[in-house]
Amino acid sequence: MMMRSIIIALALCIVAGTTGKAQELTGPVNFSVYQPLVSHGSIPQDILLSTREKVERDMKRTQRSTNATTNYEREEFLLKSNYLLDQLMVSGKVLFGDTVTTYVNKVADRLLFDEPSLRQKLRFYCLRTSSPNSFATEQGMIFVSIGMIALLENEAQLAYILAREIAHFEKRHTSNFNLTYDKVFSRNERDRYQNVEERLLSLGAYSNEEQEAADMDGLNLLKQSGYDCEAAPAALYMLQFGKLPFDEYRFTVALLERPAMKIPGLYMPDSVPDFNFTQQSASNAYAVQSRLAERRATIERKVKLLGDCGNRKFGDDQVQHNYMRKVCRFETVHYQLTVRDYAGAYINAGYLLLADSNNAYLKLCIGKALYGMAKYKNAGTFGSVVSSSQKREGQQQRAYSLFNKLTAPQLNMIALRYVFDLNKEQPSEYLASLAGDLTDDLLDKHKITFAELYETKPAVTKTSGDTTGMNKTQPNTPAGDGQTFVSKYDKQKAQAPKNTGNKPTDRPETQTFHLLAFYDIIKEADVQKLFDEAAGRVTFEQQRREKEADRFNRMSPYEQRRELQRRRQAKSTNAALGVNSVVVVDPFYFYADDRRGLKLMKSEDLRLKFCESIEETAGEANLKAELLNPKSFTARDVDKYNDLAAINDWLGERMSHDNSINIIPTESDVARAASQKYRSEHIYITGVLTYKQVRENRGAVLLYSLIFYPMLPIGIAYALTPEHDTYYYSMVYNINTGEERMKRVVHLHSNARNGFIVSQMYDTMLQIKTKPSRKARQ
Amino acid sequence: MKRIFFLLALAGTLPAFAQKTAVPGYLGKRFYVGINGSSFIHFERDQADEVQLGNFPLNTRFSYKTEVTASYVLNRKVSAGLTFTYAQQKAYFGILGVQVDAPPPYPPGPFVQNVMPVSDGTEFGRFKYSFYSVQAHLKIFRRNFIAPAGRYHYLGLGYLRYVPFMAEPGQVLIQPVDNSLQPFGPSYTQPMTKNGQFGTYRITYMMGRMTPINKFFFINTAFGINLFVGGDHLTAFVNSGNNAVATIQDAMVSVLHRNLQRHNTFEVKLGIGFYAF
Repeated sequence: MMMRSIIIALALCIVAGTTGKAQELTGPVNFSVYQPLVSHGSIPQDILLSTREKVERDMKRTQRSTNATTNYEREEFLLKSNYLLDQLMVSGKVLFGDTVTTYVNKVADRLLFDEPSLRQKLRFYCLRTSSPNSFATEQGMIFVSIGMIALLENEAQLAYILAREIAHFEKRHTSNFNLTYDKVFSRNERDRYQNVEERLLSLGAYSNEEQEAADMDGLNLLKQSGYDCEAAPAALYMLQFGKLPFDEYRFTVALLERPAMKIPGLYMPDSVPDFNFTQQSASNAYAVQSRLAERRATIERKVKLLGDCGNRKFGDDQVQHNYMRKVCRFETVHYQLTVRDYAGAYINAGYLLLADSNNAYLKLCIGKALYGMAKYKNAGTFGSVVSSSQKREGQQQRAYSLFNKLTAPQLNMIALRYVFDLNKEQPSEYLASLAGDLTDDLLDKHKITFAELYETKPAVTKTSGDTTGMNKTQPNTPAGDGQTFVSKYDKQKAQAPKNTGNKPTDRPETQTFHLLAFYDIIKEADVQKLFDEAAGRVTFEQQRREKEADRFNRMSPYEQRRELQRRRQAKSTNAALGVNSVVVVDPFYFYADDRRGLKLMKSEDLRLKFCESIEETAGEANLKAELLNPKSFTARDVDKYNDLAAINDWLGERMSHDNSINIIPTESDVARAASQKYRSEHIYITGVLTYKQVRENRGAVLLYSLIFYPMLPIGIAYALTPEHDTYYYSMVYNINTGEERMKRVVHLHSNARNGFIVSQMYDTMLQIKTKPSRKARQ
Repeated sequence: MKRIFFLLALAGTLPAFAQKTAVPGYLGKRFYVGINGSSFIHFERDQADEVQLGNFPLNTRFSYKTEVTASYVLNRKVSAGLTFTYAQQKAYFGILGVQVDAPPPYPPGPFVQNVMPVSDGTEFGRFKYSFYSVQAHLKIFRRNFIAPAGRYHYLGLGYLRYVPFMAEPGQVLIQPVDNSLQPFGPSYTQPMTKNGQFGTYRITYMMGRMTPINKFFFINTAFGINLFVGGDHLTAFVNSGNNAVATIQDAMVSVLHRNLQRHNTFEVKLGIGFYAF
């Protein structure tokens, strides 16, 4: 009886858990407390299986040819495609079991209702990226990016996108993957792609003929499934302008201004022409695929020829699609921040805020975007994250103009005030750290003190602030004169603003409006506390720097050289971090040679051994290391997979920042929650790259050993054995501050024997574990 | 045996000096021992036509040595220790002949004058010697390797003692050339030694690699050069007029030394070791 009660109780718990999860999957998201998408359910086999297992599985499915060359090429193709896909699958970029992926699968079900056998062959996943794209693979996986769904107007358009990819799969266009792979990963194309993600997405770049064939076949499938055929050209239209913001809207500075701080109109053009879609329709300047304008025109003609076609634009209802699109748009803003597209994220979040003016998530995204831009402006590398406004068209030009023209202290102050207010609205450690960091920069780099802000009063005269950005007119009186009398000279100046463009008062760098950012709340204790704490930190840091410089100057030249050497090694061989636990994220191992390039199978096998070594060595070093290795996950470890995804996003963003910027990654709040589960705030990235090549001077050595014959055995051994170069990487980051605590790249002129790697690994872990000496702490 | 116990006791105190924080060692282990065998090829060119002791092509010979080594890691890059080497090697008197023509009384110790080749080389020269060497060494690990794993430079300085003995019982090592003036010339059936053995200093440089197999064992490979300097040998006979004057003992030591150099100047080493603590 007792046992039965326990079983019933357990069953109830399981049912309750399942029900709860189901609600989470399908129920409406409360957008005011929006949380980024995460995967749910069981981890699919596409992620869990190793490349070797996948290749063996695929080889069994395909019939072996009598031609050995064909079999070899086939195996090579499967190996490369599976290996590369594996890199994508374990990166955490793939979503499964979440609301949007479930929706995409539902659309696929409708699309392939009449072809169940084909449907069984296909698996649909969403990709966590803002870049609008989709691609199919030989293995039957079809990926659609969240950024793509965020663009589409209705379900029929999504159905067409899926139909095109299904056509690519059916037509076996993916067989060209081998060529594309070689092209995308060739040395010549190295500079074309910023990161692996871009390379992966570019694998979906089929030839023009293949694209056109898929366009047509996709259209036929769309018609067959009863969806509205007009969605086909419309979807291509969306792709053609995929690089533009969600929509054209009048950009304003209302979010940034405060009662006493009005941003002068000179930062933005009064009016800019709206983006002319008609004129641009012949162009592919904003397209995410090749020849979209031409292909769209072809499809439009085809649709007219098709005649009667289904008229279904939405599956269940329009609300569902709009809801999904909204989720995807929220996600897209998030992903834009991770790839440092701060201005784009700001513009899109601002657009979404028009509908949800008090949305905490969007406000947070805007705060992050402002913080990111301010930090880059302070570092003098703003151009690397925000392009010039002249390269932009439409209303976004105003935003780009504003951010480009704002000076570093102005943008710093605006961002600080925004983040400060946001922290009061939705207090968090993360926002407090952003505010503290911005205040530090204000005091340290811009020398703007609390006293200066306290003493700055607004001018009595009318300001040229623009809260709407619309109907801006030039002032009739010169700013700051405080008099009612307007002379002829003043009127002439006001009427000819272009001629006085070089006047000091009209230049952004002479504007002091930002000093009024805190004017309305300057007497609040929180503000004073913020500046006092920052002043303490900055003073301490300045004193430390001065002390250090003084000590250095008093050293002899020899001691100075030693000191410089010590500083160089401070993050490599002399690091003492005093960290007891780390999260080891997805270790990598690449084995390559000069003849066959990257040896995929060997790399995977060595990676597995490397992961084992990490766990064993951490035990020896008494370091608590939580290894997040997707290949060691079970199907139930979806939480770990999500943690890995969050931390990988954080890492991707952190590594794109230059160390000199000293920025807190925008993903820190999400990744911090993930790392806290493992009671660690440090991320440890490690990996090995080893390269084998034939010795260049083997002939000469052999000749010398022949002449000096006792050395002949050594000469022969030297000539016959290849040369190896091995690089062992170790990096440790603090997830809260983004600080790079350790960076070691050890170059061993040797093959990557496990013992050598373990030796380096143990040393690294010891340094992570070792507490800094008292002298170093001081 | 007492020495071994003393060294073991000394080694036992070493962990007390271990500072894991500064010196990682191999998985925290800083003291290691190993046993190595070393060999190298050489050619008996001088006696190629006269002494046929084997069927090797080109009259090639291989020498062998065995050594036991114990080291302690001092810091990230350097380990220091002792190496004990033992070997038994074959040696040959090449072209040494003896002609004794001085009238009695003979001066203390046999003298050799007018060194010249003997007529029948097979009567001479085949004997063995064994040597013991104790060497202090430093292993400096090459760039980016952390002691005690990886590639290293080996620098050693030590003392070597060697004892010649006959290869076969009853063999005549040296006998005088038949000379009517001196029918009483000495005949030597044992290599002459000074107090039974000779000594020399051994300086070694090697390049090697210690490759850990697992947590406890490693494989050691190396090749390098040995220099034998000083000690009991003459670098040149004293030239007195037309005749070279030297004792037979001096001449023998020189020959021994030349054999020692020939066998051991170069060596290739292979061994296995144990990371103790």
